[in-house]
Amino acid sequence: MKKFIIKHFRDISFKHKLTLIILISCCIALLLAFTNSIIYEFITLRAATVDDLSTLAEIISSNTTAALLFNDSTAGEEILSALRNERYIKSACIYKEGGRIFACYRRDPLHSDFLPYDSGGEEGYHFENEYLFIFHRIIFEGEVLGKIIIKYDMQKMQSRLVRYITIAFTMLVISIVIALLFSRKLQRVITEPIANLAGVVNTISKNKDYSIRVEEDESKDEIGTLIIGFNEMLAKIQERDTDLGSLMEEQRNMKEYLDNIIDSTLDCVIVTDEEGYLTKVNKYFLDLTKYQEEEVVGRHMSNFEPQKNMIYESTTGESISIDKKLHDSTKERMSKLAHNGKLLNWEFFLVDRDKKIIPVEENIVYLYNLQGRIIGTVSILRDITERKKAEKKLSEYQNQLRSLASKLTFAEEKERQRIATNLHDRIGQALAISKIKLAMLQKSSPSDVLAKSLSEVYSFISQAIRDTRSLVMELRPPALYQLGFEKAIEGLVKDFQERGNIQIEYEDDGQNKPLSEDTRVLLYNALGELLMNVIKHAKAHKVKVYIKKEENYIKSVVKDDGIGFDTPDIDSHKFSKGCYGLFSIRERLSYIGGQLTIESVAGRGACVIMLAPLKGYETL
Amino acid sequence: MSKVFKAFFISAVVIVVYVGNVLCVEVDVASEYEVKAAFIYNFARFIEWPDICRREEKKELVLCILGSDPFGSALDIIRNKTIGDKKLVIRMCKDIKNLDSCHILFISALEKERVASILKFLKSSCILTISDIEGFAQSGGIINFVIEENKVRFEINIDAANRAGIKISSKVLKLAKIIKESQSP
Repeated sequence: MKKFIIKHFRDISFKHKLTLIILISCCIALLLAFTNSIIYEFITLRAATVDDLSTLAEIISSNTTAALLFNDSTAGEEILSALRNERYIKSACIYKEGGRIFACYRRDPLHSDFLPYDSGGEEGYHFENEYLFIFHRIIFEGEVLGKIIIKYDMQKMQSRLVRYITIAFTMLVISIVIALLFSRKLQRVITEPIANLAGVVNTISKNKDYSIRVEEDESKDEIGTLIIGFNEMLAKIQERDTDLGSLMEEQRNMKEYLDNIIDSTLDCVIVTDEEGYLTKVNKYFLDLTKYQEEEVVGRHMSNFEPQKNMIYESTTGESISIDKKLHDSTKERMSKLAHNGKLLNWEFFLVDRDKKIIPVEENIVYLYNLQGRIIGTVSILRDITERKKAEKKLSEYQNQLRSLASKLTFAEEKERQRIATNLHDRIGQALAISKIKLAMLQKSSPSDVLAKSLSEVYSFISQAIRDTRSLVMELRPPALYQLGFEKAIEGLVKDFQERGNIQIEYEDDGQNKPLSEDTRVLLYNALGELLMNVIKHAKAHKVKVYIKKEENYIKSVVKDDGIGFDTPDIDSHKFSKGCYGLFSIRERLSYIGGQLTIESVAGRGACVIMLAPLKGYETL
Repeated sequence: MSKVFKAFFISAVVIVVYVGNVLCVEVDVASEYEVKAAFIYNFARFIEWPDICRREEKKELVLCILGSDPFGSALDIIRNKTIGDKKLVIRMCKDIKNLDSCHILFISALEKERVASILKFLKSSCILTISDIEGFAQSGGIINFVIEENKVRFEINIDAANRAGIKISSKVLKLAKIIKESQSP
C-alpha cells in the first residue's frame, strides 16, 4: 500500500504534488487544532459538569440538613424535585447516615434508578458507562447527617461533542476548499518556472539542440538560481558539444585516413581480439580470400587455417596435404608468439572462400592497451604464391644443374680413363717397341758418335715411358681395375695410414657387391677425399672405415674421433665454401640415386655415411 | 454433641435474639418523647437568640422543662450535648418565676391549664417556648409538636418568635406548619 502511494505520488505532476502537499499540511494542521480543541472541550466540559453537579449537591445537601434532622423525607423529596429542571440528572438520592434512604428523585418514576449507599466513595465523583455519579456528604455543624448521590447522564456532553465534531468537520471541508483555491493561485509562482524548465529539458532531449535557453525571471529564489545554473550548464554543454563535434570530426577523418592506409596496403592486415576472433581486416585480405567483410569479422582465426588430414589445392598450382607435422607447425606459431611477443616471417597457409590454400608469410605482434594488458593481435600476411612458384622453378633448375654437373664429372672420369687407356695401350706400347728397336740399333751402331746419340734418344724414350706410366696411374688408379673395389679401398686406406701417420681401421663384410664402374670410381675418389678431410681437419686419433652391403645398396662409412662439427653447417654457405668436397660428393651420389648422411656434433667426432646403389639399381 | 457446644449454641441464640430486640426497640419503636427531645435539640441548632438576651457569656444553653417531666429517660439522648460552643443544660422548673436563665422552655401537656398565663408571663422574653399541647402555637407559643400520620411534626408561630426576638432558620420554617396569629381563631 505504502509503495503504491509513494509510486503514484512520485508519478504525479509537480503542480499536483504541490497542491497535495499544501492540502495535506492544511488538513493535518486543522485536524490537530480541531482534535486539540475537542479534547480540551471534552476535558473542560467534564470538569464543568462535575463542578456544576458538585455545587448542586452542595446546595441540596445544605438545604436538606433540617429535613434530615427533623426526619422529614417529604421535605427532602420536595427539595430534590427541584432537579426536574435538569433533564440529564437521571436520579438523586439522599441517604441517612447508616445507609437508609431518606429521599429520592427519579426522572423516570418507572425506573428504580438509584444507587445503593455504598457505591462510590464518600465524597467526589466517578464515571461509569455513560453516567457521572456525584457523591456529597451532608454535614451539619460537623455532624455527618447523610449522603447525597446524583446520577447524571453524560449524553448531554456526548451530543455537545458530536456537535463540535460536526462543526470541526464542516470547518475542515471549508478550509480545504479555500486552501485548494489559494494553493491553485499560489503554486503557480513555483510550478510555472519549473514547468517551463521541464518543457525546455524535454525539447532539448528530443531535438538535441543545446542552443535553447530557459527564460530567466527576476526571482532570486532557488528556482531562479536553478534556471540561471541550468542555462549556464547548457552553454557549457553547447560549447563542449561543439568541441566534441570537431574532435569527433577530426577523429573520423583520422580513422578514415588510417583505414584508407590499411586498406591500401598490399598485404593482409588482420586484427583479432585476445581470444583470436577477428575484429578488423583490410580490403586486401577480403580480396585475397574472396570473403565479404561481414563473413569474416567475429569469426575465429582458425576458420582461415587449413584443417588436419585434408588435401588442398594451393594457389601455386600443386596440391598440398596437411599432415600432422604441417598442421602442428601452424599451431606452433601461436606458442612462439606467446613466448616472444611477436612472430616474424612465419610461413603458413590461409584458406580462402573456395577452400584453396594460399601460402603466406606472417608477422604477428600483440596489441596492448594503456595498462599493458594484451587486447589482441595484429597480423600482417603477405601472399607468397609467386615467390613459392619461383622457388619451385629455381629448385627445378638447380636439380637440372646438379645432374648436369654430375654428368660432367662422370664424363670427365670416363674421358680420363679413355685417355689413360690410350696412353697405356697405344703410346706406351709404341714407346716400348721404340725403346726395344733403339736398343737393337744401338748395339749395331757403327760409330761411337751415333751410339752416343742413340743412347741419349734411348734415355729420352725411357723417360717418356715412365712419364706415360705415371700419367696413366694418375688418370686411372690401377688397383681399382686390377685388384677390385674392396682391395683398392684397402690399399687406399694403407696408403693414407702411412702418409698421414694415423691409425685407420678397415672392415669389409666380404659380400659380393657388384658396382658399376662409375659408382666404383665415385666411391673410391669420395673415400679418398673424406680421409684427406679427416687428416687435414679432424685432428682425429682413430679412424674407422667400413664397407657393407645393405639390400640393393653399398654402405660406406668413415667414422672418426676428431673435433667434429655441427651438421647444419654443411648446408651453410660458409661450410660449402671451405668444403666443396662434401657438397660435390652428395650431389654426385644423389645423381646416381644414392645419398650422403653426416652424423656429427662439435667435439664428439663425425660419421659420414655414403649409400650408393649396386649395379643395375642406379637411377640413371 | 458435647456440652460445651450445646452451651455455645444456646448462648449464641440468646445473644442474637437480645440484640435483635434491642435494635427493633431503638429503630422502630423510638418513643415519641425521644423524638421530641431530639427535635428540641435540633431546634436549638437552627435558632439564633438575639444579642440583647445577654445570656451568651455563660457558654451554656439552658433547656427548661416546666411542670411534670414527660420525657423521663428520653432526655438522656440530648443530655450533655453541645450546640456550637455551648453546652446544653437541662433544668427542671416548677415555677415560672425561675425561668430567667432558660433559653428553651418546654411546657408539659400537664400544664395545659396554665399555658395562657405562662405565655402571657413570658411575652417578649428571649425564651423559645415549645409544647405539645394542642393549639399551643395558636395561643402564642412558638413551637408546638403535633402528631400527623403517626409522625411527630411541628407548628411554628412566627409572630410569637418575632416577638420573642428569636430567629428561626428558614430551613426549619420550611418543615414546619406556619401559624400566623391573624389566622388563629
